[in-house]
Amino acid sequence: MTQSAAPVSESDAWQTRWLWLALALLVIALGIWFFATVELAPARVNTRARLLPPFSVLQDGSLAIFGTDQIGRDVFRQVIEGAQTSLFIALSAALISAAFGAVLGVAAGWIGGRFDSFMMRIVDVQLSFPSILIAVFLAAFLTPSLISVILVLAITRWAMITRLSRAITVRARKQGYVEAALVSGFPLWKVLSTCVAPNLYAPLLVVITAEVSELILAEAALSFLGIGTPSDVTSWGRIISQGRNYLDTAWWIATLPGLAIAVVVIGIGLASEVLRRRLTKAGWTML
Amino acid sequence: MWRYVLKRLLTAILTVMIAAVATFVMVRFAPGDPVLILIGEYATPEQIAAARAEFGLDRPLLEQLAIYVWKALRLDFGQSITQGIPVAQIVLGRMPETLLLATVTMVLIMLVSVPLGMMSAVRQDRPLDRVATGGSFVALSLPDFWVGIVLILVFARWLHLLPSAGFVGPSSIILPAVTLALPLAALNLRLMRNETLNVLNAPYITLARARGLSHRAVLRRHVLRNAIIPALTVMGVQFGKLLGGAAIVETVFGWPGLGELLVRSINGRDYPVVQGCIIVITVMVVTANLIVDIAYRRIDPRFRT
Repeated sequence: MTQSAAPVSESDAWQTRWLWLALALLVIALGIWFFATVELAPARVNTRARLLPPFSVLQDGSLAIFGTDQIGRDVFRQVIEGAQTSLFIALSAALISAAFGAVLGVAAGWIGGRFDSFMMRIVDVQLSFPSILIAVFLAAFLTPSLISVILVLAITRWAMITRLSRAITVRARKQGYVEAALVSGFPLWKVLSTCVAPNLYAPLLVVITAEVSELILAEAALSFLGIGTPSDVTSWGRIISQGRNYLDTAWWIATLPGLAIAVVVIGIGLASEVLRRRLTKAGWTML
Repeated sequence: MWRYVLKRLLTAILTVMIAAVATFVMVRFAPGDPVLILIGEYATPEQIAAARAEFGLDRPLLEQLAIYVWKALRLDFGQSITQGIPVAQIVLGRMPETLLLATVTMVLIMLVSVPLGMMSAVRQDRPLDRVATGGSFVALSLPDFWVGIVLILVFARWLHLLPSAGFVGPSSIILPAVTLALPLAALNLRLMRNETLNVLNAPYITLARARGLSHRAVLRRHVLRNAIIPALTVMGVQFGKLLGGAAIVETVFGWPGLGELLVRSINGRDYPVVQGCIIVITVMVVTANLIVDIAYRRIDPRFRT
């Protein structure tokens, strides 16, 4: 993980405050998501309401709190649709990379030897690059689609999880209970699933949460560059990228969606931090 | 030491090779036939075949790969499809701007993160620390392209203080450098803070204080020197990544560097330039990492044997 925050004498009150803040932000994000799937129609083109500033009242009496864009679509509705796209992509990519990374990591840690050093060399090579650069490299050669974005982002993330799972597996293998289970004649899959895998749960949960917020940023960046989501899917990066052309006439199109990204990323980031502290306190080893 | 250097060097070469082979393979799978892009959609089959032969695309794949690697070793990445000049010339022409931006950004990062990180640690849990730690958390959560756009809006469009895009003078570098520095400085600030906290608890600091050294002298002579080592290594790696071109931020500001070239060529499907960019970027990142690793071993006395 990038942040190696040393657990220094922070009071419980401090932690509780962060917990609440994180929860609040998450609830807001999830609420928006739910609200979006149930209530809202897709953002409509409305040529009579082009480039209206935030808090304009439209003809039908509705309030455009984020203003409207160059073809009269409500920016706030687009932001909500974008939230769905973004969370879907980030969650899928995080889960895929976690599953893939954990399997490879446990395999490397358990098998050891040449396979292990080979895998770790690949992990080192990948981690020496900025992950966004790898995503740009890969996305450059693919036709944009939801699946391709998810895969590209998942590929940029497996290495960290592999390294983590490997380290945990190597440590677990030295524990008496694993040896005891093997000697007692339990099949390998049973030993792995009941004695090794449970050690992974807490650290992986923390890492996956942190990854989701980084993946949201990465997806937005790719879509901003035009090599992320396809053009018929609303996404935060795309709204901002289109808003760039209207900076002089309509500053709100490019700026306000960024606030949505920031709120969600901060919320999830805080949640991950709180999870880490709580689980460490509860006796889990995070590595 | 030499064994270690050799091992790291081999890894570095392996990385560059992987990048080269990967770009080669991916171009073959990429959407859009580069030959059609080059000679137009309406070419006759004979013209297409002729063009394929000219670019060596009709030979076996492995032979193509061998030729490609051999040429790449001599910095020959072929011709740009859209501009018709050698790729090496285009790519290397972008290096000075990227180098300049990376250097200015690094200086900014160091000036902000080292003193602020140390001060936060010394005044742990006081207002300054809270603001710095909270601020770094927020800075890491903001999309960099968005920060760039907001800065352009405020400082270029509204206040008319700075140019909004391109490279039109020394003041052009301020906004892209600030945008790039923000998240990296936030990361280093945390690192510097944590490391300073660790050092402050070390017995030799108590000893230095007991010997009657002033607070300032302890900080400068003992704390700073020890706490800065991890931050320096991280900054070295970050410098390598910046040299590799900050694709997104350079694109936002129209900064004529490697990253902007990469994104531009991707959108223009100019694959020879994309390949050239990726390989040059890989070499930069790998070289920086190599230098950092070796320097770290030399600086940190624990590695001396």
